[in-house]
Amino acid sequence: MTRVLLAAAALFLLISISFWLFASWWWANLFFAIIIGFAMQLGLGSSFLAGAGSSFLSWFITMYWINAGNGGLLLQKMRAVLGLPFGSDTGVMLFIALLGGLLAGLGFLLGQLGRDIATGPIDSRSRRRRRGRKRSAATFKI
Amino acid sequence: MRILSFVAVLVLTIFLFLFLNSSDFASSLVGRITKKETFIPPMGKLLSPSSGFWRNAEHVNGPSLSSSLRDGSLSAPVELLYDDRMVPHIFADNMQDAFFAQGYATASLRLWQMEFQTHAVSGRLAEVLATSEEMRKVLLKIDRKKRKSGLPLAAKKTVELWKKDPKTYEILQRYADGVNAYIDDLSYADLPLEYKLLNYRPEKWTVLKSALLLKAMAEDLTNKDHDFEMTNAYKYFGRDTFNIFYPEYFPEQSPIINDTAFYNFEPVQVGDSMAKPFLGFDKGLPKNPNPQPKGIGSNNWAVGGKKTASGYPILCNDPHLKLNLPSIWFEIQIVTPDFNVYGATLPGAPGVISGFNQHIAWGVTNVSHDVRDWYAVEWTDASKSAYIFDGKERPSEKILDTVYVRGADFVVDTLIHTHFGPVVRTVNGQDYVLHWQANAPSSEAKTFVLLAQAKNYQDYQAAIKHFSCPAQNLVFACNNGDIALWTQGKLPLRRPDQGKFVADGRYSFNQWSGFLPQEHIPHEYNPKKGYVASANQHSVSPAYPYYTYGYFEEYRGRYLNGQLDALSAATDSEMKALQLSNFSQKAQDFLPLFMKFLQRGDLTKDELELLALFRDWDYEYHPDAVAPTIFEDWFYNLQAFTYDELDEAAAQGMELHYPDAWQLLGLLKRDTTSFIWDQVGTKKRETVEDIVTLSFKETLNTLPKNKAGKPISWGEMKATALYHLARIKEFSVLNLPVGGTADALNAVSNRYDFAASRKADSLVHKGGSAAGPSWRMIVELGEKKPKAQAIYPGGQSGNPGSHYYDNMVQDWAEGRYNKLLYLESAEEGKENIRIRQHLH
Repeated sequence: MTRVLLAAAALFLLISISFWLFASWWWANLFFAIIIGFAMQLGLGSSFLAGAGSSFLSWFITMYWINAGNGGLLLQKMRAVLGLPFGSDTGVMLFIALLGGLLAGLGFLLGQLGRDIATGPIDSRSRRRRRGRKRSAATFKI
Repeated sequence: MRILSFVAVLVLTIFLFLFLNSSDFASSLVGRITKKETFIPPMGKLLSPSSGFWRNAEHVNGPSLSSSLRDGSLSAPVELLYDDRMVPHIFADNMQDAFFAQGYATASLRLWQMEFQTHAVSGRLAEVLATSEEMRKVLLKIDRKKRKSGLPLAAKKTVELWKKDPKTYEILQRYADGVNAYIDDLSYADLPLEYKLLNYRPEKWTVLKSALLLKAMAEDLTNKDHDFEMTNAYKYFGRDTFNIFYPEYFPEQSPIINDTAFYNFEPVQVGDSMAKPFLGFDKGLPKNPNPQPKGIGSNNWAVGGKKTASGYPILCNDPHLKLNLPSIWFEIQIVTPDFNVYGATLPGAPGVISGFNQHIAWGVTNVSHDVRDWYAVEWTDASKSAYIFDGKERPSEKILDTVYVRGADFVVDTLIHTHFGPVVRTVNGQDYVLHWQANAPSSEAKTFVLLAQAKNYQDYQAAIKHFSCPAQNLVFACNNGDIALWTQGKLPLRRPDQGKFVADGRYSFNQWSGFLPQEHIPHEYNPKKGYVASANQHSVSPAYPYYTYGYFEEYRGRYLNGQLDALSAATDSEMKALQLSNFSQKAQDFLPLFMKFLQRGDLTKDELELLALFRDWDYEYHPDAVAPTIFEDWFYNLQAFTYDELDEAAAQGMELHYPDAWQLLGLLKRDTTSFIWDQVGTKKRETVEDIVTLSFKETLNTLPKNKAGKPISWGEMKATALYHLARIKEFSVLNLPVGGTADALNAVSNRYDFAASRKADSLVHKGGSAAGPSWRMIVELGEKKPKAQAIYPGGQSGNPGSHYYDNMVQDWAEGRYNKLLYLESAEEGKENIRIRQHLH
């Protein structure tokens, strides 16, 4: 659980930094998710949720912040221009954040699966064994 | 299994990547599913909070512009300050750097509009906007027509002319450099919203684009002609009846230059034989498909010191143009050691069009003389390589023209030009060429650059002589007390009736005989009446030594002159009241005559109740009044009943133009026994009383009413709208409750479509924006510093996500003005400055 949270926090931090530094959140989102997914052993389900959740959260917070600064002026217009089927600004922001989350979740999955392919299949025993090693060494295998 | 999962997730990710990043992929996929051509912008990029439309969601405090720009081409640092309305104030050491900064500042706030307007005039809309098959068809047609009209070619020739004047050309090039300095720094995230939505990028700005923009202005203001309809009318009715329908002069007119002492000169001889129309066609000619919208025009005046409270002249100007968003105008101040100019600029061209400096102020209205004539051409053979002129063969010029279309193959057209101009229309195999002054190369840009530096009447005269098309009534006032007005432009020398009809292009005597010499152009300088004024009315009276023909307004000018005659000790309050006046001279002219001829005894109770709504009406077109709604509907019906002869002709394929309102007024006042009052197809011979009564009775049926069955207010009827240039409804301001009418000084036009509403039996408005006062400016000159106030319906920013996009619309609608921040140094007025940019 700690690793999942750590991975999510790392992704949250990296995509937030990339927003300020490179203004390229969309693809940085996917790129960093793959990297972190590859680097950390998380498990498929939790990996997807960590990527999707952290990305969703960071996207939503940022959109909310921009929209508040703009007084909701543009989002109101864009809802109609794009024909987005949502009754409120929050609905649109949730939808976009979900898209970002989906992409990051897929990125984590790709990273995880890529890592598994690169390091060989891991059955439950070997996972337990590795967990034990990690616990005994009190280190993360990153 | 792991590999399979990996591949599955990879495929899903790639699919999502393509769907969100590629407009083509997403559009074609959705198109296949829905079986309908669909355009989807790259949604991933567009929705991304870091680079998509969110980046255009400007903070309520204003845009985040970079604090500095490094550009090696600047000869000295430039300070660029933006005030609390986002008006740029440029402080530069020389003119070249100043105009670089003008280009940079304008592009920073209005780039998409600047480029879009040049795409429109150069016939390149299909290249960027055609995102569906339907759009391709519509836009390709518009583009081809635009190219045929000759304007893109005229802009190229204009650039060649500018190159011969290196000083002016350098300024235009520096303006383009400034625009490009902004474009060069643009990432996807910084692009104006419309580029993201339509998925294209801006091109480099060129001097040609500035020329195109000025040609677009010439087109807007000189695009009016009824030559085809007039030729039909002449052919159908004969000259005598034609002259009854379409008299040339309005006896009550109040011309711009009414001091006939000026007319005392020896004119250039052009012949006095009446011009005859080309009648070599069997069926009627289709009318001009692009009539200028009603409401295009302007007011300007300058009141001399003897009539003002301060003793210094006051100059006012309000050009009436299409009220689009972003606005046609961009406010700016430019300060160099040689001049300090402030005013309204056209985004895309250097200089100030309507504005002031420390010494003088100037403004513009349209002269409205006809500078657009059609000729029927006779080719020597089907190849159209030569045509007959004065009995000899004359070669034509053929130009291959490629029109690019987004998502489809390009189209190649052959444009054919004669010495008159291009072949623009073909009707039943007959080609018609257009001689249009807008198609001649011209130097208007120079006028505005020189006006910025002008200090007195002599400088003003030297500046305006370069102005040729669209001819403008250029009003002038100086702090030394001088006032003046020139109806400046290249105005054709014509024989009587020349320009009214389509002419036979085989003969040189149908050509223009040159242009009015500069010294004979109608003008006034410090006239005894104490003011100069224009509102698109006749420039001169019939006593003027040259024949003039055009499309003149006969109400605003008359009312304005009357008000200015009566004025004394004027202040800005009286000037504002005039600019905002909703009084209609037309209504005051007509309604008493309507009442005189109306047979009240024939009216029903409901009709009498309707008539009672005129009681106490002061002819003011206020938005909440209902009398203007009833009057306009009655007027429309009266025209239809009076000119039923025209409908009969139209039924036989002759498209005709309804005579102007003042021509109908002439009939009501002076020709009440004319055959025109008789209805075609009835046994009875109707009288003027019958027609006025019949049309009023009809009004009870046709009048637009609300749910309670009461007439709707004038504001509801006209439904003033300010549309986004690409007609994106969400970026437009609709149903603005404003008063005024095209015939009032506050000339906000009526969008109500009488004919379509009658057919549909519901409220139908003409598409597109209203026309009206696009910039209201009042300048009180003073010994050292002018005091000025102005407003336009829009905002300084072209970004629909900015609070400066339409922040002035409500103030404009409610008749408020902004006091203009006229700075003398970059250190002054700090409390009003929001952003400081340092260009070096």
